[in-house]
Amino acid sequence: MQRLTTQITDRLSMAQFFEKMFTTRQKRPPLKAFILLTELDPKDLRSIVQKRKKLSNIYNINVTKLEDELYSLNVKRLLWKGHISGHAILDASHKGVWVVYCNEKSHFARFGLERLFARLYPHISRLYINYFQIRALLDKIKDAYRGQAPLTYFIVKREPKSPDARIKSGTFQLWEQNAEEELRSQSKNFRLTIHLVNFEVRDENDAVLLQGQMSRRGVCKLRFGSFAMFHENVVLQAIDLGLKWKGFYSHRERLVKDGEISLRPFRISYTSEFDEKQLYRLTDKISKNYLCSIIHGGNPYFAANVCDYLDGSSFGVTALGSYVTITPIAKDSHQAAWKLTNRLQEILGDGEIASIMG
Amino acid sequence: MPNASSLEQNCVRDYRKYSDTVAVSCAIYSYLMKHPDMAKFVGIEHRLQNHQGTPATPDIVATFDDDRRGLIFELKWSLPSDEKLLEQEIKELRKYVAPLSHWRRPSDKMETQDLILICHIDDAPRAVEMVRRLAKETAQSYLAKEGFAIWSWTITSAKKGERKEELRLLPIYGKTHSQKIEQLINQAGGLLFPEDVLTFLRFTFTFVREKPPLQYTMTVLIQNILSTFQRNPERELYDVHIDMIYERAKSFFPSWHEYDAATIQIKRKWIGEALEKLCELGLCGRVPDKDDWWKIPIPILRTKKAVQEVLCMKIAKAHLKHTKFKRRGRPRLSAVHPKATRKDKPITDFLS
Repeated sequence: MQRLTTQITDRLSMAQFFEKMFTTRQKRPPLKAFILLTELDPKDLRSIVQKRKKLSNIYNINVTKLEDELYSLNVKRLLWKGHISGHAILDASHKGVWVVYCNEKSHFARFGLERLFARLYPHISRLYINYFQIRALLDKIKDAYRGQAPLTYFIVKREPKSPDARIKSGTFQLWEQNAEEELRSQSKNFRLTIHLVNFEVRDENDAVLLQGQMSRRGVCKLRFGSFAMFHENVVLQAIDLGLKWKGFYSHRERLVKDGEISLRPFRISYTSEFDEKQLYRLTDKISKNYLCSIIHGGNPYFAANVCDYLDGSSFGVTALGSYVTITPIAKDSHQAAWKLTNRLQEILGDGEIASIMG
Repeated sequence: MPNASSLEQNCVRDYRKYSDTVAVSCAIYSYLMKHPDMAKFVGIEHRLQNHQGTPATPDIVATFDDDRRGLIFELKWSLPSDEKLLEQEIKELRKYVAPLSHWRRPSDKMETQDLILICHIDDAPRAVEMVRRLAKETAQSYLAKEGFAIWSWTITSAKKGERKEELRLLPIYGKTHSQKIEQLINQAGGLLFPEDVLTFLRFTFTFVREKPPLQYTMTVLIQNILSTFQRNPERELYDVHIDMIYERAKSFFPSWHEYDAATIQIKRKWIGEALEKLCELGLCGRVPDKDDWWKIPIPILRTKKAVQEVLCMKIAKAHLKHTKFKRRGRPRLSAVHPKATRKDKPITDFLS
């Protein structure tokens, strides 16, 4: 496998390197592009890791500047009794966003890089996308390539909408040339939590232009195709989506305005009503990740005050009928609001997210 | 003597009752703001005065009939089960019946002053029984007249498991002078509040005027106030002054901007008591040689249970330990009785 560090010295050489690598058919790990939301300066990454006891014990990080807003990232992590190490390229040219490219094996990408970024929350937050957002993103990719972008594979967690359905809930995956139809039909009968989708773009002559993947946690993968096109049509679209939703989740804290209290809640809408079982599960699962004071558990009304352990943001969360309502209370950050919304959807299924107009 | 689990259950129930009472207060507030035709909202914890200048601050104050008649809502999150205490609570309502001024302007006086006592549906029968008994006394005769009413609130689904939960106010006793309000409350099923109250409006405020149970203030401090001091994701100790905590907590009290020094002191005391209790339970400490400074680890608690349940469990255990200690006095050091092994000779051998 060709190493990143020896080949890439600036943005141009990076584009050429990936372009050459992914337009030829050969067996190799895909190119992973992690989309991360952060206001950090990449130069401070090392010091932040060193300041956090739990991270500094297992991670050793080096950040080298290649050119303006482009850095080489060298990560070494203790794992069990051995260690894993690898390289990545960090592109910080978009304000508030980092894109980390890595063509190392999935093992390093998952346990070395992804875990590091997950543990750097709230300094760095992930781009969480649900079923509806992935579909919107795929539509944009289709338009950009002026072709078809059929799904070829997907993994979802599903739960029947009607409790007496014969099919049980669980994880479902499908490899099929046209998996989109199946996904749509599943969304009618099940509450879905999408995990990842593979897609393929073809031209008029049925030649493959792009083979890619998109995951719930903002990792875009390029298996085959032009890097320039992938960057333009997938990565930039994902960044746009990330910045749009970052704006949505920002500035929602409970405020005092002209002597009156102003709330800026938002809600996740579903097509079917919750039953007691789902709400009891919500009570059980949400308290494993958040500090909760649950006022009503599941009768069938869920109301709780929820606090993020790592960030200190607190929210009022209720589930009634077919809506989950999130009301930021104190020290609300967009990272915490987005992470909580994602966690709630992982438990209850993906829904449509919108503000509530007072 | 109650056991730990029943103490804990009561403690958690009180937490929920207070929290739902806050939701009821937010519901009435938002209802009045949206329906000025029913009654015009004046204020939450608005300061009225009697002819002697003594202030009276009911939970919610409104007027109707073109500001000619006054309407007072008094919310009780819990009514005592002890008869004497209950009698005292009901008798205290009298201060809202005496002619009051300062409704919108200092000189405002009303033709009538209606008082509505709002309590939980479980407390309502006891309250009505006591009111009926006291109404026979001449000093409390206002309880039997038009202008005094008891409403109760309930959060239930119309048919369990089939319909979603609703917040309703139900008429229990007496009536007001307003025909519109009477029509509204006496419709089948009482006054049904919009769903918004249960989904997000309940988070507008966190307190009502009445003092919350200690576990409630402690939970709010942990969840919404102390957490805002957190600067780093890892647990650290922070030195915090009580005024800094009050400053961040004050917008959670309704009508915080109208408070005078005495009211601020009361709310500050609630916070102080909650911090004391957290210290007693070993969750935080005091900064040595510095008054009103607290050493608080943030996040203060990590648990997979509900915060109030953990606090109630700790409170119940501490309470039982305390009462046991009080009952028996200082625990005696137990004498050590080493067990004799087979090889040891019995004492009788030495006696012979």
